[in-house]
Amino acid sequence: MSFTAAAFLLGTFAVAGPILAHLLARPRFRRVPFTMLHFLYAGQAEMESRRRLRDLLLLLLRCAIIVLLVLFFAGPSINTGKKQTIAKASYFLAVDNSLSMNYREGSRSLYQNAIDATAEFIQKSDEDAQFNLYPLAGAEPITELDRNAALVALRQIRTAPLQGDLRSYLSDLREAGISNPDAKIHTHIASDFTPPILQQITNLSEPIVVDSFQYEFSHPQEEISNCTIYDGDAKVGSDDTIQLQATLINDGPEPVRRTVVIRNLAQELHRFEVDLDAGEHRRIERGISFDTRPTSSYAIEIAYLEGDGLAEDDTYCMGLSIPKIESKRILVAGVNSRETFLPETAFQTLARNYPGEAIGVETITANVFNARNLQEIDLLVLTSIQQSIAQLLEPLTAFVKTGGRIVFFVSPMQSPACVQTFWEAGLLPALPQRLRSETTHTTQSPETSIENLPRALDVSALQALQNYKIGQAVLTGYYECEAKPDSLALWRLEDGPGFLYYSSLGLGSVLLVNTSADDSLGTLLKSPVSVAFCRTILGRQEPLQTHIFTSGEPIVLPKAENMKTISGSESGIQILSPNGNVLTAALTDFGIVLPPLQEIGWIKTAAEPALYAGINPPREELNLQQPEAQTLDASLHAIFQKRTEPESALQAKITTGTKPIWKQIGWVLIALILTETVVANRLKR
Amino acid sequence: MAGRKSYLDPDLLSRLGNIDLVARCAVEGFYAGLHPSPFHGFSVEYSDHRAYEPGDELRFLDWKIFGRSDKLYIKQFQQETNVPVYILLDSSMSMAFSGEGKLSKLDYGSYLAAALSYLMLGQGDAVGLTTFSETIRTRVPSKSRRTHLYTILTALQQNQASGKTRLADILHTLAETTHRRGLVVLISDLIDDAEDLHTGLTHLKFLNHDVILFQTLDHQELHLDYEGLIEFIDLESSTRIRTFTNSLRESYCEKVANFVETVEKKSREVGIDYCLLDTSQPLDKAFLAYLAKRKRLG
Repeated sequence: MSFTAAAFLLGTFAVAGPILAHLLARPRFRRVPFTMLHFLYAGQAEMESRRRLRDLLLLLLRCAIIVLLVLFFAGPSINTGKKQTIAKASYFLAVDNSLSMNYREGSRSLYQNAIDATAEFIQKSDEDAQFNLYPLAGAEPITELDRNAALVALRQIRTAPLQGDLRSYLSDLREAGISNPDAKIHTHIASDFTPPILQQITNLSEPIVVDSFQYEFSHPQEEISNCTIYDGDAKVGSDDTIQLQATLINDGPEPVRRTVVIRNLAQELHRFEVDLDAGEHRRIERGISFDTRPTSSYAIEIAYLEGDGLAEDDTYCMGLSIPKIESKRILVAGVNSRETFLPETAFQTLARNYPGEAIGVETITANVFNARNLQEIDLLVLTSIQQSIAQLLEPLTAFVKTGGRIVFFVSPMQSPACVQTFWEAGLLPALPQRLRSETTHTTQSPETSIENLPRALDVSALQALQNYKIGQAVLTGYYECEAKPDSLALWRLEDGPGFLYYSSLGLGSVLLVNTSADDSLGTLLKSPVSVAFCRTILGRQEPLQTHIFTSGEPIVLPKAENMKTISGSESGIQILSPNGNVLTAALTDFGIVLPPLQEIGWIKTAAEPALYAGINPPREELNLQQPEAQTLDASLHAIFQKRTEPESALQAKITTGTKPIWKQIGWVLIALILTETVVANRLKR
Repeated sequence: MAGRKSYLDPDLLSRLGNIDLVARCAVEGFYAGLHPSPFHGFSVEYSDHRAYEPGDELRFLDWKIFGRSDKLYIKQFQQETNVPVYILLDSSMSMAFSGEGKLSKLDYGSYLAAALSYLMLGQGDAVGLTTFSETIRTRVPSKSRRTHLYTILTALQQNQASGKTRLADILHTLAETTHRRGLVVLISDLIDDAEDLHTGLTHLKFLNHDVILFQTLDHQELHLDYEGLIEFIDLESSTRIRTFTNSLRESYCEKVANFVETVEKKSREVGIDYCLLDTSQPLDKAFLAYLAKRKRLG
């Protein structure tokens, strides 16, 4: 046995303490006269012998605790008595199979160079060594291989359109050094060391100690010649076109002229030439006219016609769902401009925010409002119900029944007779009965759950209203209302009456806003919430949707209303992957959910209506910037440090075969202290 | 006077005034009292009729029967007489023990003896007192005069605990020197050899004495409620024992309970009434409880 701090062994003399205490200590007895001593004798003899035994046991325990405490601090190790076997050398080989490694120079890619360099390294290594292969993109590590198996496995690794990830490799490498300090650890990394890879290495806070470190810097011999397309998008233009956008990049050191083509699968839609300076990033936008059928799905590709070093980033895939684009005409009718100003302004704000919806807003005074005005509008906003429109009951009813929508605001100046007429005709969702000129607020959230809302209403707009804290807007005055049996109080006031009533009539619908459109609703319509409020009363408009994903991330596609699985099953739907595989995606409430794919290109739903989505390479992998060789070397050697322990010391450690036992002593010590407590406590009884 | 009467708790005695202590056995006596007597004589309680024999006193003839049947019958009466009571008070050193420093067993026994004396003398019984340890130390003969109470109280007052207990010898001596049958009241902690004690009590019972045995024990003797390390010193032999009472309490209490149970069982076997008195309990309650039980037994 050897000790790290043998001086602590002098503490063994402290054992004398409890021994002396045991020998010299005399218990103090209280003297008491008594009579029936003969009844005490028998028990006393037994008790006395037990007490002496416990005293002795306690003495031994205390002595043992002191000795073990001394040993614990002295740091003992025991000789195992035999020479330890030298552990096998472990090779940790990282192979960058990320997308950027597909860059080709001539007939060879960077990846092929990396594989060859790694294979050469394996062949030169110890025959009986253990190999661990770490593909950096997508694949799981392949560990504990012999040399031949490692060579076979290396050739089976393929590149993946993913970003390289060194975390698993670095973590296992560090763990191996800690868990088996006697084993020799050799490392090899073959990569192009693009910024994402290099950053993961340089971000390490502590260096990793290894016995040897080598790396293969796979980089093109000549200057990079590559152009990239990424960050595509689409939006509805103001001229009935779809504006397609993308960013074009020239990674090379020279200006280039490239031809860009926009396709819908095989059908070419547009072609143009673009001159890109060295290192230039240019955002391009092109308006394309599409058939304005009901919602259609397109597979839009924006691609360079000419090839370059990295082919995978020459085409950008973008799925598009283009809704039927229809203009919306809104007419705001009121007693005067003061009454109509705020609603008109709010709808104009909405129109500006959604130019693709072609929302047109007009105002008219109620006394000149007639049936002809109804022929060209989709939404009528009546800021007060005046007697002058009472004769329009029939045209208004017909307008709603044929798909129009009327929004009524209550007003102190409204005509009760006209209101009653409209109510009896079923045109009002609620009857305003008695005016309450009090300050009030709406509740914080909708009265009706989102799931139960009619399709004609915009659910997301209602949610937005909730997010804008509509309940904090101050409203001055409202009516106590009697609601129609089939109407919905979408939102309520704090005092109980509805704030926003809705009911459907024929193909259309009517809404009643239970406060005046001028001052009372002013705080609401002047605030950012006005857009969501106007969107709520205007109704749903299907947006233009792009379906663009990155390889390696989960894919969620919108679910069409009447979409069913190809097999009739409700739980799954079949998807054609970019490589032509048929996959089964989950059909959930949120949409069609597919696990991450390690492919790039198009996916298409097999069920009708078909839906396309584009899967593009990760943006980080498109940065082909190469580090300086010297900088790279310095960075890598700062992280991967060679073991400095002299060979003789390692050899001595191996031959002596000592094993520290302080942990075991610590556990025994804890057990003895607990036992001593129990025994000492028992002795008192 | 006040000191003499200190053993007679007025409250206790006022309660005893309503209780009749009736001896189970009829003994002969010289004075009429409440105790039933085997001798028919002067009494008011009718017993039986018998045919007249020459020599009988004519005043006991039942003239009514003679008038109806023309036959002579003598009326017999059950005579109620007094009974000699021998109170034996153990005054050995062990009786001086008072576990909680309040009332020693000897004091407690003295109270009991005084109370009994008052009661018996009030009924016209003759009461005597014997105090003893290894030998008989004081012997007050049985007398039925009311003023005899002061003699007994004086003897109790002057009594001091000393010496060892030799109960068996004392009981044999008393049996041999007491010729008249009566009621023997033994007040002691009975810390002696159980077999010897049984022999002595059997001797008394053999002579047709009615024996009542009051075993007075301190609360500590019964329960050993001491805490911690204690060196016990025997009051009679001065022997010592060191112990940790918490460890012994259970076995000690078990042994004491067995001892008490043995004494009680053997007493019952020979027809002796046994009553265990804990000195921590009020004297009157223990005494009254016993008297009530005695009365139920007839």
